[in-house]
Amino acid sequence: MTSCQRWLLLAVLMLVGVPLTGCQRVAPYQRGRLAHPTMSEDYTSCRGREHVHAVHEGALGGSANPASGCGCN
Amino acid sequence: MFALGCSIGMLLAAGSAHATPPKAQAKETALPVSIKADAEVSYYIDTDGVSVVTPTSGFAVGDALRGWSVNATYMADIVTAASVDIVASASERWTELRHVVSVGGSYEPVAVRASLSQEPDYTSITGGLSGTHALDDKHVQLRGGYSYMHDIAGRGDTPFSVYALELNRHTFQLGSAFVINRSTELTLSADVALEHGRQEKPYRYLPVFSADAAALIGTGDTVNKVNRLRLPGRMEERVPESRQRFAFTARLARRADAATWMVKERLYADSWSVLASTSDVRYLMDVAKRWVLWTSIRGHLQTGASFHQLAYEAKRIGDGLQLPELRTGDRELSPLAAATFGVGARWDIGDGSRRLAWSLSAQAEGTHTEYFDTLYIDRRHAFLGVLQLQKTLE
Repeated sequence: MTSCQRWLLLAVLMLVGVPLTGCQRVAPYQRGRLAHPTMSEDYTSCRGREHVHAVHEGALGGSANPASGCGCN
Repeated sequence: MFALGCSIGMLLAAGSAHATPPKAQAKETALPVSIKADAEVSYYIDTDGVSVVTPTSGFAVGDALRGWSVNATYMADIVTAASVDIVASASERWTELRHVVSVGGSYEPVAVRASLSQEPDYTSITGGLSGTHALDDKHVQLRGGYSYMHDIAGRGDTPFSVYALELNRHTFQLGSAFVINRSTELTLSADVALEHGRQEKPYRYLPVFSADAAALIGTGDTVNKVNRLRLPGRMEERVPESRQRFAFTARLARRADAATWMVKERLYADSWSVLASTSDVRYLMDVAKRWVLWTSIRGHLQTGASFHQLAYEAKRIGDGLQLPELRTGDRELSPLAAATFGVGARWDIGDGSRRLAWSLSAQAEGTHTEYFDTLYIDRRHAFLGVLQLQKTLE
């Protein structure tokens, strides 16, 4: 198994495993804090910053893709 | 030297910012849809002679009750570059304009999006589809997505029909969000990107050295020293035609009485042997009813690609040179470490009613990047400033 495949397997195991650990039951009327605007990444996101991070870091995923040939790298 | 820049504000012309008295609002009929418009300007500058001004604007219409929305954005990059790589290639400073248009729509639980990025010598087309599914009384939200990207890179004075490097990328995303308790949410996601095609930059040339000269080259050596030691001529970049990229991201968000914490970690690996870790911590404070301030720290560490070298050696065969099969001058394929510190503020303008709301936000980020195995520069300082204005009408 290559290192890439090991990473993928780890990701899948975590995705499947976490729901089995048992989270607290939270009724819809108790979700005010969860629904607060600042809980969303969109609250502080901006298109320019996502693009700069994407071209400066030799990695992708979890954020915007580079999708550009611009000269900023 | 750490370079500083500034942001320029943009104003939307859609409507007035005057607050409506609460009694008058109560008599008005609610709009059947919500309308959002935003404008953003960011300014990037770094110590490698690159500056980018990026104005963007976006527009979205939707009905949350019926579960549909449509949106469109436009972004332009005005890039000016006089980096050391350009100097080393005996080229001149250049300025280029890139346009990006994106459209999207959703009808729960499915969303689609498409974008077109256009430069004089580069075109990128992306299309994507995603879907969500809630489980366990919405304690778990699953998300899956697929996107396809097709890039064409060429040279500014040559038609794509004569010279073009094409790249295809298929990206698969699978994620889930979990309600941990009344104030904490965990999001896990996995990304797999399969790339096939030519990823070289058409204008990127590399110096080549004899074995003896290569041993004298060190990280961050100047253009003059490199030119003194290099062999005559230069070689184009050449990287493998396929790349498989994997990322796993975890994000924990917690809301306290008047503050929000967000911690995010991304682990990345690819078939070019790049391993990376990206950590992002964000703290947002409600300093007043309509004011939120935040600070962020981001750290990125990565190894280099298996074929990355500081100085590539060529062997003399008769009158010619035998060049290494794979070679790159891309600093983002070299081992590096980057640290970013950011601050931001958002002001929700108006009387607190959501009928007609404006918000203004400003952000600034400084990044220090350390390159451990590259020519010409061994560090870079960069500054990014962003100003956003958003208007919501519902």
